[in-house]
Amino acid sequence: MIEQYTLEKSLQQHFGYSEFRIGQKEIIEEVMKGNDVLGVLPTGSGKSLCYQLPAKLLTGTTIVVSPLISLMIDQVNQLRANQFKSVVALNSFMDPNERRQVYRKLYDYDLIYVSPELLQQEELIMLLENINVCLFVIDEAHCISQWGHEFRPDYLKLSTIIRKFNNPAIMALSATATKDVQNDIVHYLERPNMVKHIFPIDRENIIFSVKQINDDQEKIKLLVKLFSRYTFPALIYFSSRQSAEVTANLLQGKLPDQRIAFYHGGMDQMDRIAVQQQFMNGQLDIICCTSAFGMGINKSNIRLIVHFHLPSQLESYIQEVGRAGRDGNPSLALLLYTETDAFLPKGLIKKELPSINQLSFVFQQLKQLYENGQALNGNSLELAEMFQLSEIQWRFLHNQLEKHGMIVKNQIVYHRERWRQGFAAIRDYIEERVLFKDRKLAEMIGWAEEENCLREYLYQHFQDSFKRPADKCCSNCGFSLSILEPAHVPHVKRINLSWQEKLRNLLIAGDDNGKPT
Amino acid sequence: MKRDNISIYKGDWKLLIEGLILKCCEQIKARRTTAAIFHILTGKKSIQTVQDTHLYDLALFYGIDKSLRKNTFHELIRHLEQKALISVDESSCFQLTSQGDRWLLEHESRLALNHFNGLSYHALAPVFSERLLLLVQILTNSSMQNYSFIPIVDKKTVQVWVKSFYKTLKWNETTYLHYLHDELHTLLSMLPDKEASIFVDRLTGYRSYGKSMQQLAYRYQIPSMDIKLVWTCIIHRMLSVIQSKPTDYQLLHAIIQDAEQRSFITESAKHTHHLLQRHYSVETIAAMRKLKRNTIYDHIVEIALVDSTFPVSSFVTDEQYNEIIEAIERTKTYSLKQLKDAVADEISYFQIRLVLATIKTKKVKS
Repeated sequence: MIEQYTLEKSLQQHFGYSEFRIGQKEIIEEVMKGNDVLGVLPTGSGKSLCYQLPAKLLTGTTIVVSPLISLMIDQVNQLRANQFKSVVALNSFMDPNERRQVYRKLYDYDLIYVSPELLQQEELIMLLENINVCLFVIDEAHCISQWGHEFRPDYLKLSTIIRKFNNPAIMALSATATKDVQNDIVHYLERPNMVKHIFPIDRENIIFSVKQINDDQEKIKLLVKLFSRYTFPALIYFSSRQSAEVTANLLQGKLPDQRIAFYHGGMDQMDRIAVQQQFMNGQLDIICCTSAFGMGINKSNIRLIVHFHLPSQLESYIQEVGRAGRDGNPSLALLLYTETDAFLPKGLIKKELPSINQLSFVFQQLKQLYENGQALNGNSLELAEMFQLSEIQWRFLHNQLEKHGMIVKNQIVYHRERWRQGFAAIRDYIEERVLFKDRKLAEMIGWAEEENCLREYLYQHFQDSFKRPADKCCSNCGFSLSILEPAHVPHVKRINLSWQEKLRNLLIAGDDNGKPT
Repeated sequence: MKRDNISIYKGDWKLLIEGLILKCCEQIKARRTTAAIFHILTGKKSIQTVQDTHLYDLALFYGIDKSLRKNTFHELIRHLEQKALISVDESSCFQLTSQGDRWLLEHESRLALNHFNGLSYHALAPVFSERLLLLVQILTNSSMQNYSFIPIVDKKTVQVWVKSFYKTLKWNETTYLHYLHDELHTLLSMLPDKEASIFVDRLTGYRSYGKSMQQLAYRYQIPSMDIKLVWTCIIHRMLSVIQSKPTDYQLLHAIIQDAEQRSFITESAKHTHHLLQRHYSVETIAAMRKLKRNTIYDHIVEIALVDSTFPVSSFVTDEQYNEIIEAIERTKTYSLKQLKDAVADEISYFQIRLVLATIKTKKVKS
């Protein structure tokens, strides 16, 4: 009873919330007792609070491994804005000087986010060994499993790394972990006594709708029609940066009253923050984006998530639509489906994994380098360019080459027989991954083409049951766009100000509008 | 994919970046590969690039597009080639065609390329603009008693600097916002309205986040590849006004005061310069610093480029100097290889480069 009281009080004190959301307390209590815990919580349920609060309460440092650098940076920014200052995100994009500065006083931080790549660095591991690591968090823990939708080979090395620290409690978190994946997490982290807290991931307030559409032109027509009737915060997901950009500009041209922008991972950090915060702030209505947008975004009143293209798997779809309606109000997830769209994710799968020809080419190049006595110098982008691969492909391959002992710390180790076997093993592995991803895609296509309840199909892969809303379930259960009644946000009339007026408003006139007294 | 990329150019000859590349082609008289242009625009810190920059009068463009990707650059080169404005041979060496020449004649004045000042500002410009953007955000928010917001600039070095600067202004936010307003107002009034407007739209204030580059490009109908250059040019123009009359822009000048002093491009050359001033020989310096002798030579050329008073006579005799000058006049080229063939064997490449550096600094002076 007393513990409960203090936990809630601490929550109020450090984060300003009066109560926990579903699942949070159970998971936090577990680590406060020193137990290892696996938590599966729906997207948008405040997973990160599960370790942010213990990080504040426990003596020592909490380390969070997270594969998504943009998510890390967002969270750190958010925590800092809310006066949680002893936090830092370590990743390979950091300026080396800045990183050295942080390394010098690691013990000062309550919470350290780190990318799995950087956690391979011996220098960092040694530094971390010397501080008191009290809790080790694995975010997006499904990445440890080959059956998860985003397998990250670096995650397999985590248990070895954790062993070097002073036996901290482990917290593994995921929003999408099937039973197989859950078992893999426990197995690979080598913590058989891990306590599981699995919560249903279905979202009752999201209406699912799939629209069969012939081509992109028709998709745009539909969106123009929709947005000329309604204004509400909306996200439109695209499978490429290019199409997000082009469509954003096209829609803006046709919908002058809507404020539309695009967002993708190719933009500078400052531009990304700007667009993201404009959206949070209500300066924007619609964002056309790639999957890079949304992680760590905590906007509660997003009413509509459109998928302009078919996602490559149900897991990412569930994650992306989970950004709608966090305030609990009805929201819509709309997939615009064209049969030929299946080619897009197929292309993406190919781009992620090297082909057999590319594999032979890399082997030839490596042998050449070895014969010239050269090592692998350069960052992953440069090396990828040298081998004519995408960076994702090169990372994948680099990992495999290390695994088969062909590359040891940037040195090429040649052994004829071992290389022959290695080539075959990697080739088989690529084939296996392609098959797996194809199967995931087939599930997604199956959902888009499903004739029965969409909600049922979507969630049956992840859990035994789900809540069915009283009305408005999905487009196969009688929902149609025409009965959509979203809250209509009144439009602020926009006046064209001169730059002199804008400058004045921004710097001085703020004085007379609503300054707190 | 490729076809999509081409469609960016549908407005055709509006592209500032293409004008820049053509201008570089025009200036570089020697047989050089397109990579030389790429290195100048992205501000590569190599002695070759630094020397090219000085030799071909491209100081204004040094490092003005640091985020330009190699692939994009090649795409642009290919496009200029397709339009027959430049020709590129099989060893990647380029030449401006007569059509390209005409194009420059017609359009150059409109592009206002001379407002760039890359060599002076390539390092200072981002420092200035990032500090200023963050300072405006902090002042406007704290003047409204709002201390919880996401900083628009997330570079630690910038944040640390602005924070300590802000501490000196604290409790007087409103007064300083008035100063800032007045200084920016005066400064921006010297720019064309469109540029001033772009600058103001980029600012983030209280509950109002500034526009992204892409939003600015859309709003002002500027090709997306050019918007960063337009921004850089605005910042360069602002900096040159501030530096010419620092007393009129005390607050803005305070933002850059600690970052202004930077004549050398590489820190390493600066170090060598110190040692030379203490009369160490090239051999000793190389040994002390565990560097190759040629690297030290590179530094010396770099020093000579920046400092016109640097005594080159310790490295080139008067006779050798005159011989090299004669060779330049006779062959009418700056090409190192051709000059080397035209002078006595004992004259080294280093000596030729050094002489080129000195005549270049003199020419700029005159």
